[in-house]
Amino acid sequence: MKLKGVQDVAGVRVVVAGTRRDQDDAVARVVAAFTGPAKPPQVKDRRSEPSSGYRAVHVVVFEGGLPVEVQIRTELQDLWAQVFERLADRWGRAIRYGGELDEPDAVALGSDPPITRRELVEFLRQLGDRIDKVEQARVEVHDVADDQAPATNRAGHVVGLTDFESSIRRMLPVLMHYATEEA
Amino acid sequence: MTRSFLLVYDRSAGRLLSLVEHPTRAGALQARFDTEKQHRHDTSIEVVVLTAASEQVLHRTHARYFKDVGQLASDWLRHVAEA
Repeated sequence: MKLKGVQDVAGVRVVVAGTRRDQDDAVARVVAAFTGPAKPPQVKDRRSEPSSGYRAVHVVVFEGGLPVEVQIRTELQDLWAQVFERLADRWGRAIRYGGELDEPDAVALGSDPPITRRELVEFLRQLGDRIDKVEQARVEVHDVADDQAPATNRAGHVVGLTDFESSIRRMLPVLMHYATEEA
Repeated sequence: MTRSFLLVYDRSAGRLLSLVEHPTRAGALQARFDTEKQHRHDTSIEVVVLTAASEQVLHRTHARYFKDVGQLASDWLRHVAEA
């Protein structure tokens, strides 16, 4: 990234152990803590508008006039970001900003049937979409008492989780192979 | 009370080369600048100062430096099992 593209001088990362609703609460607390005479905090909700598949809520707060970015992620959003960044380390860091892989058509070793790196990254992005759906469904289920939760919500949540789990298991051989390559 | 850590990470090898705690954040930043100079010709080396309550917290917030993608995917599955 070019220097002129840098918008903050420091960063904070918060990983929320909870639901998306807990993430919203954390965002509200950060905004409240930094709302005052200084420049108001700026909230960037990357859940509804993901950046290259990345989802989180970023709050830019101003401390002593300087911008500080607070990244607030759920655990699932954070794990997605950690895996994506780790793949980008070796396959091409440009993908973090919507750019192309260094060797997009190379086969992702460990995949069966074989898929390219580009296909795997696209699959990972789709997995991010599934995480989002799972987390939204989880909030709907948690918003009402268990015995009152609509059966359709609970069923949808379970289907979402099963779908999510099968997606991860499908990618697992490639990720395991990637880990072996690193070592 | 927060603690300051200097991490040196090799992206291409996917390996944390060193993690050193510094008594002050200013000291950690100075060490960062010195270390960056040492590796200025190697773009795969990432030098970063992270501040946290403990090293264990860093393992949660910056797992990429500590776990390979297979371990991270296993964490995903564990979260799904607990959901």
